[in-house]
Order: sequence, then C-alpha cells, then structure tokens
Amino acid sequence: MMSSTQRQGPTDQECPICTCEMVLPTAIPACGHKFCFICLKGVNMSNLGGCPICRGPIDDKIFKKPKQALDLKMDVPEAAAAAAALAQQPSTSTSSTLQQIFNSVTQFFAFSAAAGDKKVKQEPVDEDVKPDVAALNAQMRAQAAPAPPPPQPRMYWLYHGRHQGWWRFDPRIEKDIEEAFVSLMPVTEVTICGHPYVIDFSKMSQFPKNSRGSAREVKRVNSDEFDAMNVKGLAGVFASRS
Amino acid sequence: MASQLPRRIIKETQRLLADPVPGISANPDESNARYFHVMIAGPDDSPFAGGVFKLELFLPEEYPMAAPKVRFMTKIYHPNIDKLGRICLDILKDKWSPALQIRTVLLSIQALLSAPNPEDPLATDVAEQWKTNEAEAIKTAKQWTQSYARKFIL
Repeated sequence: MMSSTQRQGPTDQECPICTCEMVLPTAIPACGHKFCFICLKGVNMSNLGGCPICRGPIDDKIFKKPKQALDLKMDVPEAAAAAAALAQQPSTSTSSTLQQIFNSVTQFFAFSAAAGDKKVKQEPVDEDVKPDVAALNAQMRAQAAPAPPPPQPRMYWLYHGRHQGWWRFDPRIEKDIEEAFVSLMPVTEVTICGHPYVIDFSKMSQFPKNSRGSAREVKRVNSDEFDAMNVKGLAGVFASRS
Repeated sequence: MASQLPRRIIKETQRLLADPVPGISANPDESNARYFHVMIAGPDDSPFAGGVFKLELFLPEEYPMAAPKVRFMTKIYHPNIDKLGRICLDILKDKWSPALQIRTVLLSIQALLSAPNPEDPLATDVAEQWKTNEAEAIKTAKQWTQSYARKFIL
C-alpha cells in the first residue's frame, strides 16, 4: 500500500539525489541548492561537475570537518509516516523489496478487497440489509490498528573513524543494516555516498564492495552504550557539543 | 549476497508505474529490478509517428552517481542513434546529473525523436543524408518506422 507521502510526489524536503526526506540538509554555498550531506558528498567524490541542479560550483570546504548542531540519536525522518503505513498493512513482508515493487500498485487494490472480504466473513450480515458504512469503516480501522510493538531496545550502528573514535551511520543506512542483522543475514550491502559497501556481520566489518582492501570496524550498541561512547558525529558530520 | 535495492530506485519505479509519462512505458524486469523494458511511442510531429520503439534501460550499481545505460532495441533511422541502438545524448554521457531520473532521461529521448540533431551525429551516414537531403531522410525514417516499429501495435 502506498503511503500518502509517496502519492504526493516530491516535496521541498525531498533530496533530489536519494528522493527521501533530507538527512543533515546541506546547501551548496554558491547556489543554495540543498541535499543530504552524504548525497552531496557522493556527488563531489564522483566528480559529476558541480551542483546536480544548476551545475554551479561546489566549494570543497563544506566537506572538511563539517559541523552541525544535530541530534546524534535522530531517527529516520519518515519513520512516523512509515509506521503509520505499516500499521495499515496487514501482512506484507519487508524483506523482499523486489517483490514489493512489483506488488506496490496491485497491493493497494488487493488490500482493499481482502479487508472487505475479511469483514464479511467475520461478521455475517443479512445481505438484504445494507451495512452501516460508517460503523464498518470504524471496525476496519480498529482491526487495522497497530498491534502493540514488542518491547525491543533501540539499537544504533557505529563505524570506526579513519583516525580514531566512533561515528554513527546515517539513520537510513543504519535502519537497513539493523533489518538485515535481525533477519540473520550473514552480510548486507549498503550504498554510502553513492558507492556500494558490504557489511559483514560475522567479522563486524565494512568494506567497499569493489575492493576488499580498506575494511573498517562496525559496532551495534544500545542506547546506554551509545551514550557512554562519546560518539563523534553522524555520517561524517561532527556533532557540535554545547 | 543480499543486494538491497536503493530507496531511490524503489521510489522511482513506484512513481513511474503510478504516474506514467504519456507515450512512454517503463517496466522493471521480473528478475532484475535494475533492468527496465521501455516502450516509447514515436512523437506525432516526427517521422517516427505511428511507431512504437522498444528500448532497454539499465541502472548500474553506481546509479544515480552514474547515468543509466539506455539502448534502442528497435531499428530506427535517426542521426543520433546508431545501428546498435546506442544513443548520442549528452545527459547520458558527460552531462549526467544525479538529479536527473529515469523519467527525465526517457523524456529527453522522446524529445530527441522530435528533434534529430545531425550536427552531433552518431550514425554519420544517416546524419549526412539528413543534412544533404532532409526530405529523403525523413522519407526513409518513415519507411523504417513502418517496417520495424509497428510490431507492438495491434
């Protein structure tokens, strides 16, 4: 089922590169066009000839020791909307993204039909009597209400910096890593700054997919451990501490 | 190895299916979500009118930091498209920007059918004909459209 944000199309807060709500929004000083910090960094690393929107110059300085006042434990921006959409979705596996695409359009209709069927089976009504639509809708909403989530501690994923100290992954990448980890996959692939990386859970390390050379350590921590670790920043942006 | 499809590709695909571009269809392959089967209707104002052209579009691993790879599968008489279906279009090469999308790429290709550019040729013989005898070139393009691009029309 498509969420309302997907149907609305692009918004002001949508990064033109990842097409998601921006994480660590960063403007190019010369033209003011805004992107996620790591998306823009990826553009700069790939030598794509300036601003993706206007091809104006990108000042490299914005990538050297970038600092932002940020919530180090921030969530994925669309987490709230996604949770709401998921609550309305009866039993869609989140593991098969491929299948999700092919089903995305038909699912919407299939769900509506299935929900209707269920209703009829569970509560036999006299077919000659028109059911109270408002009451039906209310009941359907109640059935679709989110089951109380199992109490799972919030986990964070960190990577070891080139020099020293630990950094938190971009929350969206972190979410993908966590999903792969809890589904007991031995490895997973993530795209960072436009380049594919492999996370190997048996070694708890990350390396570029196309060259095994420079691996770095990764770590999964709970909230208390996170607080005790003096994490330096998020996805390459230093957290400015007051 | 589990290869997760980037959110952007998922979103672009959903939007293409939910809100298709008029005259263009793009459907992901069942076994490879980075490979799209594309059909473009020849624009009405062009010698390709009445034809439907099949293309393949592939999103490389570096996408969107690298351009999609697009190729005509249907034979076409066009100065910027060669015998192998390769397309001479700057945004597919050095003018690629990650802010462009599958949608904008396909729109640009549709526009290229409306406005052949013999000054920047890929098929030199076709471009030569287009420059020296445009009427004849357009006639050939129409014939090719009739011969090769009517397969998908019932």
